[in-house]
Parts: sequence; structure tokens; C-alpha cells
Amino acid sequence: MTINRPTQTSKNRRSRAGQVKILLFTLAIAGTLGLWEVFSHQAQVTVAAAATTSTNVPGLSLELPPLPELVPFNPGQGASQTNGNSTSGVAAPTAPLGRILMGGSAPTFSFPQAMARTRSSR
Amino acid sequence: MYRIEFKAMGCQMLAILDSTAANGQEKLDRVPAWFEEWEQVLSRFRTDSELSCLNRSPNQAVSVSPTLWEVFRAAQTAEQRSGSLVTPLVYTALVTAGYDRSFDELVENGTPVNDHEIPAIGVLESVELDLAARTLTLPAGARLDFGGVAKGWAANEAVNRLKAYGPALVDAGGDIAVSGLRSDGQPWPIEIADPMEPEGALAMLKLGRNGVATSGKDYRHWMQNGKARHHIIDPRTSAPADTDVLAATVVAPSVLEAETAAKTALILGGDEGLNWLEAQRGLAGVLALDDGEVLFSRRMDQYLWS
Repeated sequence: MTINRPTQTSKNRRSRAGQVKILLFTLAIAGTLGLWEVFSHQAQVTVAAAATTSTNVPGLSLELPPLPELVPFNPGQGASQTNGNSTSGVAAPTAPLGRILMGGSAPTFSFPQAMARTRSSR
Repeated sequence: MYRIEFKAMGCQMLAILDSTAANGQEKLDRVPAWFEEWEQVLSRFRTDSELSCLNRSPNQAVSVSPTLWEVFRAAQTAEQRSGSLVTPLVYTALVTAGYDRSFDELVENGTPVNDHEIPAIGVLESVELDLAARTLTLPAGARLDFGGVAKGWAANEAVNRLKAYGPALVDAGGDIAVSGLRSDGQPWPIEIADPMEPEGALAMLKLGRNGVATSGKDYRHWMQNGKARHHIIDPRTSAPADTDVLAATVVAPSVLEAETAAKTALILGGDEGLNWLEAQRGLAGVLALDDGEVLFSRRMDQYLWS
């Protein structure tokens, strides 16, 4: 009984090594197929994009609008600017002041209902 | 909270009394009679008003009522603070520009063609005052139209009378006076109307002890001889102000100061008007320009409800 134990352990080790090899092989196959799928799909997208932007394809009468150009965002544009003394030349932070948008519902205001209204004499 | 709305001085008026006293509405119901009394003194459109009588009596020392006297003194202050841009001596220039009757009649019946030469506008120093006798002597050719100063004075006077019964607000055609904070300690929420969209608002103000007024060419305008006219006269040209400001709103320590400053900023135009507002302590303003742009003065932040 005591002699057989080493023999059984050695067999188990061989068996486990085999299982690991099979696992690694399977993973390698799966990884290869996965990457293949990804890259082949990107290539299709590129080809499709090229096809849609080209208007010189013989026999293709479809006219598509040009793709929009991306413009770099300049944080100094379109936002409130102050010159230290005033907000001269700046679009007003007007009615949206205090506006809260809630889940796409109609805009509501955080300030109370106006009790009076100033306007040119009328 | 009680409120009353009525028409006076060619404008829509509103008075609010923040009180739970049972006689609150009774107190407010007196306000239209006050305005009627003041209009009978100050209107240039009523031929039998005290002002019309004064305007028909040049070169004579005319004894005037306390109301007309006070409004004249307020107009003197307005002229001084505005660098002579706000003056009641615009009467003849307004008539020359076609504003020779109440605005309701003007809209209904059209504007007369007028090719008269535009008269030069003087200064109130040309009017003689006798403080002891409370008389005014107009020089020949001078006639008075108190315009917005009369409405500002009326709003201020009404709120001073109402405040004995609780916190009060009086809106005289857009010139708004408040007596102080409301009874719950909160300021009064007041909208600045958008001159581009009659139902829209440019901003919401919170007013405690201040006054606010708006001067604009967005409503009282008409055509004369094919030319666009409005009712804000620039005394430097004796003609409707050539300005890029459509409407100017100013918050000031009092509604009379606000009325004067709003008209001054409008006449000066967007850039100069904003610079002028910034240079005046205690004033904050919003200028809505013809092209839709809106300029806020730096001190306006403290009055915007956010």
C-alpha cells in the first residue's frame, strides 16, 4: 500500500499536466479566433465607410452628405467671459438661471413665482 | 397677501400688501384713487391738469401743489444725476416726434405728419423757483412732461403710504417700489420681462429695500413720415434716442433713481451705458440690445435669484 502511493501520485501529475496543455491549447485557439473576428470586422467597417464616402463608384448613384468635421473645443468660446468690470459682449445667462431639467420633463425653475414684472412702461 | 390691479397714467398698475389683516384689501382699494389724483395733477394729456395749466402759462410765477412741486424737484435731481439726459423739458420734442396724445390714441388713430424743425432742449435751470412761495416760472417755449419720473414718484409715494399696514410693493407700469422684505423675511421675486418675447423673462430678481425700473423702446414706438419713432428723447439731439439698447433695467436704492438710471443707460447705448452703470455706486443693470445680446453689469449678481 505504501509502495503504490508514489506511483499513483506520479500518474496524477502526468494527468494534470496533460489537462493544462489541453486548456492552454484551447485558450490559444479561442484567442486566435477572437482576435481574427475583431480585426476582420474592423476591416469591414473601414471598407464600408470608404464605400459610403466615395461618390465615384461606377454605377452607384447614391449621394450622401459629407461627414461632419470635428472642431476642437475652445473653452473660451460660447461661455460667459468677464473683463473684470462687466460681462460686455456676452450672451445673457438669462431665463435658464436656476433651471433644473428632470428626466426629460418640462423645465422647472428653482426660484419662486414672480410677484411682479418690470418692463418698459405699458 | 392682498393685491389690486388697475389702469392709470396710461399704464397697468399693481399694488400688493403682504398682510393678513382683515382690512388689508380695504387699504389697497384706496390706491387707484391716489393715482387718479396724481394723474390729474401730472398728466400732459389732460388739458385741465395742473401741469397743462402750468405749461400754458409761460413767464408767470405759478403757485403749484405739493405733488407737482415734489415731482418737479425729483425731476431736477434726475437731470443732475443723468448729466441732463433725463429732463422733463422734452415735451415739445415728443410732440414734434408725433407723441402728441396718449399712446392708446396714438395707436388707434395714427401719427400726424410733422415737418416742424426740432427745437433745442434747454435745462431746468431756466425754470425759476420760489421756494418760499412754492411757485414755478417757465421760460417762453418751455413745457414739461414728467414721463417716467412721475410714475416712479407715484410708485414710491404709494408704497410709503401702504407700508404702515405691512410690507408693500407697487408697480407703476414697470417702475417697481418695495417697502422692505416681505413678512416672512424673504425678498420680493420680480421678473425682468424679455423685450424680444413679451411672455418671456430675462432674469428673476430678488428685491428687499430697493427699487427697479425698465426703460425701453420696445413698446411705445410708432412710424412718422416713414421713420421709426419711440418715446425716449435724447436731449442732445431733441429726437428719439438713436441707441442700440432695446430695453434697460436698473436696480437702485429707490425706484426714482432706478427710473433715471434706466433711461440714461438706454440713451447712452450698450457699451457706454454699461460703463456708466458700473461707475455708479448702488446701481446694477441689465441691457437688452437690439441684436438680442443681453449685458449684465457686475453688481447685478447680488440681485439675481439663483
